[in-house]
Amino acid sequence: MEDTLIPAALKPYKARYLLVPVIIGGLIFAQYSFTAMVKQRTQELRFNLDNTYSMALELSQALGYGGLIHHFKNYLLRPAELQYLNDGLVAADSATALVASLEVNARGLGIETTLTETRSMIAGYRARLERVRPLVASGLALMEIDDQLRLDDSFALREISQLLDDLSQSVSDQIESIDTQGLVLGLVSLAGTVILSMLILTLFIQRRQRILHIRSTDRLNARLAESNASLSDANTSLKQFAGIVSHDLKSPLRHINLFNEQILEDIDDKELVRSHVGMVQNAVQRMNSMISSLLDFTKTGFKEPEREMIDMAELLPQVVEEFQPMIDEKQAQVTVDADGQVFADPQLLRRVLYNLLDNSMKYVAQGEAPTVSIVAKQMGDGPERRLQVCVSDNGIGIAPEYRERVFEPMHRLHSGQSPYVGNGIGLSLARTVINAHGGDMEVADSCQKGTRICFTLPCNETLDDVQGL
Amino acid sequence: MAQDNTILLVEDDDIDAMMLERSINSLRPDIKIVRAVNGREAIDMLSTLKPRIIVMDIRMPLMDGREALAHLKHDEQYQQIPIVMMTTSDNPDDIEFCYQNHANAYMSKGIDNKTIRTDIDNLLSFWFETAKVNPPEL
Repeated sequence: MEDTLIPAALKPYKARYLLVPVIIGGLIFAQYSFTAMVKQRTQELRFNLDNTYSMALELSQALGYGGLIHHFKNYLLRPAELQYLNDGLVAADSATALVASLEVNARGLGIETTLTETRSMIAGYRARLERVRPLVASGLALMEIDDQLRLDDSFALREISQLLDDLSQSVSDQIESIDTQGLVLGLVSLAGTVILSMLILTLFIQRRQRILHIRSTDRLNARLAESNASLSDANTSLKQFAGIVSHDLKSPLRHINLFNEQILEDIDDKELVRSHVGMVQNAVQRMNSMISSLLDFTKTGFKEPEREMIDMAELLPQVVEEFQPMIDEKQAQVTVDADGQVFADPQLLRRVLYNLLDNSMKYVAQGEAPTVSIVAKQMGDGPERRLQVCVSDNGIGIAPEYRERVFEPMHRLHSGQSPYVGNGIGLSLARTVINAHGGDMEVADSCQKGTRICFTLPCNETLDDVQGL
Repeated sequence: MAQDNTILLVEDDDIDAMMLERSINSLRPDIKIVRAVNGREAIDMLSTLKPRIIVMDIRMPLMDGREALAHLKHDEQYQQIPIVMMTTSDNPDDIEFCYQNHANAYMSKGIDNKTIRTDIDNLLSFWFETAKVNPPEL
């Protein structure tokens, strides 16, 4: 059902929706990767910094009393033993190597530097080692030699300490920058996720709305088609009706023309002329009645009911009242047994009852007094509750085979000049009105002679009930 | 017995019927006119009546001319009887329906005496003199 409502152009969206979790998953993974990368990079920097610190500590020791100075003093105490000179030179070499490593590490941590003070101190150290022997040979006291060759390591240590400070600052700057980058990247990917989700949500909502729109359009179209159909029905019956009436109007018109010619032909015979004029008058009356019926039908038969609550016990006697002159004249007997209420157009309902009563008064055997009974009562319960109205008479009746055809517009059962001539509109109009109220009308079986016509109307309480039908 | 000089006139309107009868009588007093007031009555009459032609209106109560025409032209017993539709209707639907159902002619009712007389004269001279009709059996 749903698929049939979605036009083909919308269908490819379905496959695209599979991408939604993939894209969101990708964004979340990217965010996770950024975080992990930031963490790793920070750890790396910290590790390298720690490494450098311990290297610097090692260097400081190698320069100070744990290293160069220690070896220098040993050599100074035993200048004859070359082993001590060698030890001092090896210590100087390893200190130089440490300096080089420290410089490499510092470069890795973002600081390009050469530890000039330290290097020159090591170079000075080597030079001093070379001068020990000549000074000892010159017989200078050890204390004096030591004073002369005193090595000041404070510059080197200050330089190393300064480098460590710089490195520490550089690393913390870098970590901060990495953190910021990570934060920015995280925010960007978070924003991307949010924006993409919203975009997808919007697309989804739009699509949903389009589907709903299509569905509601479909419903509207169906309703439109329905009302078109009913309009077209009304139009067809109006056309049919107008066609029949205009055709029927031609007959009396032709008669008028023919009798006018006769009048001219028989102008000298007063009696004949009088008779022809009478015929013309008859034809004019027939035309008049047909035109009135046509107007009546177009006004009443196609009118939208304006409903209100009607009490049948009030309405029925009012309709009978209108027939009082005819009842008196024909010495007719009309009985009313009215009960129940109905939500209907009072004018139209009155019209229906009038037509039925009019037929009952009209179609009686010659010389017989009409006896008419009108019964209105409620039937059924709940939503099935209906009002039934039956009009029964003692008239000439309707043969079973014509029980449906009497409701066709302009379908007369009696010939042009018979005493029962009608214009074939009363019953067709009555049924049209009852149908417009959601009811039915039919010629009912009657065990006695005469005609019994019944109609039922739904007992709607309000306009909502009517529309809910 | 073939009733070769009989017209079955199917017409509910007394005035129209009177005018037609008068025209026919004035032109061919030998032709006998039998009238039915609707299609049902016409079909009933045909069980005993063998007219040379049927002249039939369309708009009639109980059974109209279209229904009677379709009924007669689909009944082997009657389909050879010429049927001339003579009606006020010039509705194309009616004309089409009648020819589809094998009406032998479709004429409009004249609006004045002269037209009626001319039409009847033509009709009689064709169907009673020119046309060879299958002589109806007993």
